[in-house]
Amino acid sequence: MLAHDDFELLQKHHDGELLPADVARVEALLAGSPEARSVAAALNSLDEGLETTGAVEPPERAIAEIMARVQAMPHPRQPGWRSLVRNAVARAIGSTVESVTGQSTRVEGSMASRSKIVWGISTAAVVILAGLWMTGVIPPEQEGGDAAIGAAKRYQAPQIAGKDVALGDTEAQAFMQSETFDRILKDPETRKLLNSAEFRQFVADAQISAAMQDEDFVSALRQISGDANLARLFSNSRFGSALSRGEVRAALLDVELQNAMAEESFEQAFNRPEVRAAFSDSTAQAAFNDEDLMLAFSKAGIQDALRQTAFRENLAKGALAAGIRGSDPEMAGLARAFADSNLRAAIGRPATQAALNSERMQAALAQPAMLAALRSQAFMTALRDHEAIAALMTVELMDAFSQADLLASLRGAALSRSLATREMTTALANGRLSQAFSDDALTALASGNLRDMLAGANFEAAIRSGLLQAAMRERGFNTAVREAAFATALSRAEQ
Amino acid sequence: MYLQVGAEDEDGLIGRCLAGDKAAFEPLVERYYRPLFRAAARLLGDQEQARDATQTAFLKAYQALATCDRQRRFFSWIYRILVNECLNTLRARRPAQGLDDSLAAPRDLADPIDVGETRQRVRKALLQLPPDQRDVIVLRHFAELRYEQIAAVLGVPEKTVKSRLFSARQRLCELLAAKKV
Repeated sequence: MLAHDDFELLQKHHDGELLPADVARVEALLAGSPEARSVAAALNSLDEGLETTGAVEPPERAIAEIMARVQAMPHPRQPGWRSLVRNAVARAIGSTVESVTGQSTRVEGSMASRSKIVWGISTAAVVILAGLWMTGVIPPEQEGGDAAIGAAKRYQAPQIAGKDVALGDTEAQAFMQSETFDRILKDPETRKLLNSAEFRQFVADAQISAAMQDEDFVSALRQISGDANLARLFSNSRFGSALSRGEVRAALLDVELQNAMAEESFEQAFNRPEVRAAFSDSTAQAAFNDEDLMLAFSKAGIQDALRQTAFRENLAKGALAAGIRGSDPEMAGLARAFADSNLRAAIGRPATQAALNSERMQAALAQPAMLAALRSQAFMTALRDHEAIAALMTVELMDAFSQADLLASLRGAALSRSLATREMTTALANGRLSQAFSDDALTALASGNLRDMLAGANFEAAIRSGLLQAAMRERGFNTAVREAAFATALSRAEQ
Repeated sequence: MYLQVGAEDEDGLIGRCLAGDKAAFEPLVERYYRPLFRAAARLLGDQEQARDATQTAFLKAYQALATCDRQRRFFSWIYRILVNECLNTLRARRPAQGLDDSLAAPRDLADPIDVGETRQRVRKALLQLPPDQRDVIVLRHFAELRYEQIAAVLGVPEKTVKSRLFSARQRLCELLAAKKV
């Protein structure tokens, strides 16, 4: 096996980046190692695929055309407070987190891009704290001082437009006197953050001071500061800890993901009151506080799913949100479902992530019935099994999930219990059986008797039979299955 | 090399643009048009679409200049805009002609006839790479930047560039060997 250093040497040689001192080493490596020669050949082969013969030269007058268009355009707008703060936050988060955690921040591309995630999560946290800091409630650490918090030092808060940011409304005042606020102040991580030089530099930024003059900013500050739910979220040390993890930060800073989040459909979705309400739900917040869930969301598969236009459109339509906080009170259980460790583990699996990329799955997820199925504790239990997940994510079963009746049956404890067994999941992984499940005649699964029967050991044994699987794909079988007598007979056989 | 790493006057040019001097945008276009166009042409396999994508990227950048983080390289920012523009173009092809077809048949590169099977498969595999790996391949092979320049564009150490190139090439080889493309 070729050592990493040797491969790097070959790569540098291939890319014309070799130092003169290394030439002899490469020559010796190529002469003595067939594997090195094979790697060199593979690199050349890749080049053949990547390179096009002949130069690709820019078209004439292209630059002149661009400049002509620029001349016809209005002047670029001066940055508003949102972009000023966003830029500053992006910089501050990178350096502050690094200083707090001692880890280097992976910053690629433009952190100043339209980052709704950074804006939505990081800004809220920083702005709350910055607002409180600037109003003098949390004083800055003085040079040589001990960072003690006390009323006597409040006047030392720097260049703020005090009259603009004073939290005079009673809601904000009440929040400051709350236990939540007290917890924020006492949290060691928060204290560390507030006392870091980078954070103070951020708050002292002239652009931030300019933003303080903006009425919208002041209004937003008041709103955020007064949101006790949000404050509770950010006061949770596990949330902060999750944000400091390299994988999560890398995910949040992924420019493509940020761009996806910046799309109108996402914005529309998050403008919906029910979506906002769902995110304010204490159970949902508990789920989002979970480090494992945060890590799951940082995985490439999940991000790819979020980038899918269909997924975002479904989110924007509100079907998912309606499912979470809609008229059916049972749907509120979805938040509890997300809090379930089994679901979180399932989300982290490559098979689940691949499935989430499927438009079929995204369409199914948009249905209230699917959300209701997810809510079922027994269904959650079934998700413990890798094979069950693999089986459930087949195309045919995804199609089946689009049927409300089948989803209704999944809510039944008996069927979900049976899904959790090894035999059933093995059977479900069979492609032919999955195909059978996609037949609309299988809505008979909603029958109570049939659900009970499905939970039986004999049925599990039978369903593994190739003959039964073939039979299930016959229309006649499906018609028979729908007969109550059939289910009753099967139940008797079970006994 | 056409991309100057030490482009210390960028901030000044952007500042002048924001102050209303449109002509200050021209040096930025002149400096970066060529590498961006080459990257777009290789990604899209179509010079006309590459021209459109590059022009759109510059116009979007101009419109949104106020949001550009001036502590970072302008090229890093506009490169991201361009890649997104190219990906949108590729996605838009899907309903009519299919992504595979559009990648398999670049229409007017210099040698449209002699596009071998390997090349077609490598181009498709490229789109399956994670963005950070795809970036280094595009910047190295398509924009023809050196390690040092790629590091400056992406804001990562040169060592990371080498490591990502290694991973990207390894992944490309795996995809090709497994005939997944």
